[in-house]
Amino acid sequence: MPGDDAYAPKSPDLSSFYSAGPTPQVDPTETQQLFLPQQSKPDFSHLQYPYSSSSHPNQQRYQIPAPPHSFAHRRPTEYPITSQSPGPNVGVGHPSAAQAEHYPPRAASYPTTGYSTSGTGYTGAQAPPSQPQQLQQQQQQQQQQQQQFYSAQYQCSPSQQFSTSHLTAAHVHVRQPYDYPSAAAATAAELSRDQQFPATNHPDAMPPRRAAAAAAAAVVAARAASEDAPESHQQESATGEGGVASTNTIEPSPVKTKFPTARIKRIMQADEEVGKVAQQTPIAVGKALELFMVALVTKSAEVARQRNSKRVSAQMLKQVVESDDQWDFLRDIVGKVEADEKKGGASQSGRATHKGEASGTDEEGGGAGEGAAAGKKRRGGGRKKKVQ
Amino acid sequence: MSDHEFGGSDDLSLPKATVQKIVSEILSGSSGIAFSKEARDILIECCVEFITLISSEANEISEKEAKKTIACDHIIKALDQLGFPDYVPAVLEAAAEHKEVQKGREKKANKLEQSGMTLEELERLQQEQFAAAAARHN
Repeated sequence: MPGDDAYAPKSPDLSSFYSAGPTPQVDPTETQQLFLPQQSKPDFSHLQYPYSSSSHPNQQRYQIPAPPHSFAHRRPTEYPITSQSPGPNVGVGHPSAAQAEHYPPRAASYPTTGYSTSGTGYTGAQAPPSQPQQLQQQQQQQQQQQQQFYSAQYQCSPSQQFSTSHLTAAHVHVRQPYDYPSAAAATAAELSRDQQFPATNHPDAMPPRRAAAAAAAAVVAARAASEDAPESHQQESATGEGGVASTNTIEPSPVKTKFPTARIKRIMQADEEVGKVAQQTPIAVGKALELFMVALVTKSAEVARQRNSKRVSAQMLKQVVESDDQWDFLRDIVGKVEADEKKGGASQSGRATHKGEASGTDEEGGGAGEGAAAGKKRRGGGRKKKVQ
Repeated sequence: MSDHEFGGSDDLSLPKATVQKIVSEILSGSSGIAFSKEARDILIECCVEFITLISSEANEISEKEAKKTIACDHIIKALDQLGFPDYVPAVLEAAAEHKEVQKGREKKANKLEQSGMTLEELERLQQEQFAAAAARHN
């Protein structure tokens, strides 16, 4: 593409590409670390803008890593761009006029949807493979108007951008684990794209665009990255990120061991009302169970620490369960079991529980090692796929 | 379905060793705190209860939607409704991951089928190609 060559030297802000490394610490790839020092907040804000804007955060969260979301935005804005530019000649011949024409509508669009428009406006440049003519037009347009866009953007929607970036920045630590596959995909695809399309450099436009393309083109890379759970954990703890995450109880699962899927399914189907279960469902439940355990275990460990105990007793578990309505469904279980222990502990008052814990220490160590073998995910071998 | 993998179907608990391992993985960061055996047993019960809760809620949701199969979506909704919306993103990610892996597997499996030849035909073709290569070499 001629436009690329002509444009490449003029694009010093390749840094904008780097800005998409929202989870540098988490990503195992070396390339990710290169992007680390660059602006990371704007990226987060882009990736996560839907979260903060949405009334229902969960569903929005879901869409972020998914490519369709970005693509959906990409298409519509593609056409506005080309329609605004009647042809490359016009733009080149009368830059000022072209700018005057192009500029106002764009500027007007920024305040309303600061992120999506700024992002998707340039994602249109992603279309080149299928629409080379449009790409050239857009690139020329960009050359002329780049500065205008920047200024327009910052004039029109600085408050939005910064406010949202701040909002989402607060969630960065929490969300990292879930964003980083797409980010990994982004950077993976990014390397090649940096060379292919150096001309497209709009700092704010990059992340969504890359996320879209990356998710589509490098889903595999994302998966590979996300499956490198151990590495990410190591890096996280090394950077001290883990501490922050653990307080939010959404830490990127220190748990590498997975529950046997078949067992989960069987427990589910023990309820006679439960009929068929999709293949993915036990995996989802297993993940939820893992998070549930992390929350429960972490909290009871906190209780143990508060009591200067090295051992989490059933009593502490009970305390945790009763401390939060979220776990009210466990109260029967906890209450039933605790009743026995209380008989022993009641006469000797609270401290007695520590003795009980101490006696239990011996039993502990044995079980830990055995579980290793059971760790791997089980995928029902001969089972038919039942996903609807 | 998968019951044949296990001898009896009345063992509706989670494997203790696995639970213990996960617990120690969770606690690995927090300075030597461990779970007592009683606490672990209760934890297992809690886990089973959790699964039951989620699945029965998901079952209701799926019935409302007139679906016969409990899908991932239903689990997500159940988590949301039961006060565990925090878990949703991670669960979604895990499910998506699994889906991708599954897709990859299917593709691989289909490669053989897509060749449009039976195994015998493929084998014959291979032999022919071997022979041709050998002839060329000599």
